[in-house]
Amino acid sequence: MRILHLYYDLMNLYGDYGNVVVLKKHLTDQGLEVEVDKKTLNDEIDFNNYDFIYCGSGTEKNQLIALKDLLKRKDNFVKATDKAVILFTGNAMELLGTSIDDNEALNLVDMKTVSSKDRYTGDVILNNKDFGEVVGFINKCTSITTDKDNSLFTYIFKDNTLNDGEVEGFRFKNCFGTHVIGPVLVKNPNFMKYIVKMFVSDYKEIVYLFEEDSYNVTLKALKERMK
Amino acid sequence: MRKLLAIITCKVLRVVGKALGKGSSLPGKWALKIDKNILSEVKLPKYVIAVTGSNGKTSTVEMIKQIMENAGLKVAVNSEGSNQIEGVTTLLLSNCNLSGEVKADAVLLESDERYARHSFKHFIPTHYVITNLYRDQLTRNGHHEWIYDIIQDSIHEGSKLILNCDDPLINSYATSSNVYFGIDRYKDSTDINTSVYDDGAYCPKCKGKMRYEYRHYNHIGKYECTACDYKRHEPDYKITDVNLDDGYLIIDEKYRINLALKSIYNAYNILAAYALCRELNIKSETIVESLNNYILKNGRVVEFTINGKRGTLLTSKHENSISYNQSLRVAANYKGYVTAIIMVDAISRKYFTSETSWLWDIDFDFLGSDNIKEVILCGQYASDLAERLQYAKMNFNKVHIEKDIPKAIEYLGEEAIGHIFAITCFSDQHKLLNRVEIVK
Repeated sequence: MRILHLYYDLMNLYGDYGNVVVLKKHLTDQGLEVEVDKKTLNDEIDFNNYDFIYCGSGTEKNQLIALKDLLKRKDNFVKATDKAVILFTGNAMELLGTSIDDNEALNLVDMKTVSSKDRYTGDVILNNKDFGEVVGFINKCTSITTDKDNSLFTYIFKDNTLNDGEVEGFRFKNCFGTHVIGPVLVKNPNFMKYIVKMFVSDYKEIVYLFEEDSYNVTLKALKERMK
Repeated sequence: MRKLLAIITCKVLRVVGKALGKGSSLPGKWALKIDKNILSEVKLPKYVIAVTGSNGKTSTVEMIKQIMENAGLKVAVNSEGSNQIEGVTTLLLSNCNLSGEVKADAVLLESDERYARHSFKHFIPTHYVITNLYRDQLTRNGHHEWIYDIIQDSIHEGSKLILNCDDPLINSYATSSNVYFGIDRYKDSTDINTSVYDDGAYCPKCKGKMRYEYRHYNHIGKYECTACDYKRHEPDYKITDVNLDDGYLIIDEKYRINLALKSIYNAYNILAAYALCRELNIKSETIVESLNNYILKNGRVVEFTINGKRGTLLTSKHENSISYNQSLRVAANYKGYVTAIIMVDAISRKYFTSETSWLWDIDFDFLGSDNIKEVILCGQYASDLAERLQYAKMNFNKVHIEKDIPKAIEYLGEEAIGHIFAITCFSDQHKLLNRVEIVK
């Protein structure tokens, strides 16, 4: 089992690396042998060598640098989507759409990103039809126009400072994108379990008390705010 | 006439507000309603000094005030929390006569990174100190590069900038008059990044790979870009040696200052105050005398006892990993056994949020230090802390988790070994301080 942490030093603005270290632990607990590769700009990468590819959030400048680098590897990356599970969180998800402002993006999903001078930030509760409610925080300066049928989540709750419509993120094959920042898998045991199960045929039930409790505390606090 | 009315209204409201224990923004707010240009109409003193940046503003301002007063100057200074435009208006109008002349030798402003651009539309500082740019309150600030641009909007030709050149972002601000301060390599400097993240990995100008000659912590150090000509400026004022074990620093190879607070972060605040005051032509000797063994009065460090055991509260900022690192470093470097209690209950004083990603940016490996015998986690988000600590280089067996704060503090009183360091934010610290004896 090989994990690629892509642009680990460029796109890691909100403690996003936590996703990789905790996912590795969970997979190891399931009995898998897990190897993590950290790669960045100009490194030699063959995406087809990996079972899981992760990329986190960056500053807007860093995001465009990452985009430029990723575009050079477009064919190799697109081919990897046939086999690998991919998770791009925060503004990394925008890399996989059609465009970011005037810049052509990877065009994996039908999603246009337009940036603004304002930031759209806030706590959210999202729902996915397969793994349920997800809590998190969105911190971005962009608006998205997207194909609703590809969305990963529907909104249950969002701070009124957020600008999105009713849906959030995307799923294309096993490629997941969400604007939620930071260690989203760590904070959401159901999402984590869903991902882990994609790699394990005989899933062992293991309870991670801190993760469960952290999720429940936040879900409860946010649901209080919905009232 | 409007101007006079605004001044009188502000003064009256300030006096009434003070008597009622109210904050300092309301009088200024009313003055601005009466005369929206009032800030451009007051006659400012010779020196208008502003201090901004992510961390260290309050401490730096406090030390500058101390030095200037010792040098015989009358300083009008805004108190903590009144650094938005209304607070600044209150400060200036309360200190001016009825013709609008500020009666002081200097105005000294702690300026919020996000609000400075609004105040400095009406007047500009003669001296503008910028300390650093960190990951700080990202739920509101977005990120450090976003704040960089916002601070840029507050910088105008005519201000002399006093800049921390060891911070790659701060180093790039410029007017036609720039002064730099920095710290030379010292015993604890490292060749490589020692933090869990690296905001110095890429050049702020061209995003080429940066090369560091040394680092003091995180992205703070001496660097140059490998792709363009961007590099740290040569400092005009520098700390040429620091010894945190013995607790002193040397400025410009000559001036020794003994440290009441033995931390590299404190050294930067002292150096910023020194650089600014030298630019005002205050003698080095006066500065050194003012800052030698200086104990900050801003309440960030509070000594207490519980059950006869000694403790120190190190007020840190939630959502600010470097602020936490600063406190963790103190606990790890303490010469003796330590019990650390970390409390995350309300993440922000003003805004509700459940965002805890910032915990992953804190260098909790410091807790792996052998002298730290016990770590107590408490507050609503104790499980988020516990989860994070499981991935730190430390023995997790020494961690005790008790969400309930009164119970956690009771446990602390009974079980603490060695000196206690309590690490939490302004938003939570009263939950501890209400249950211990404060040492005056």
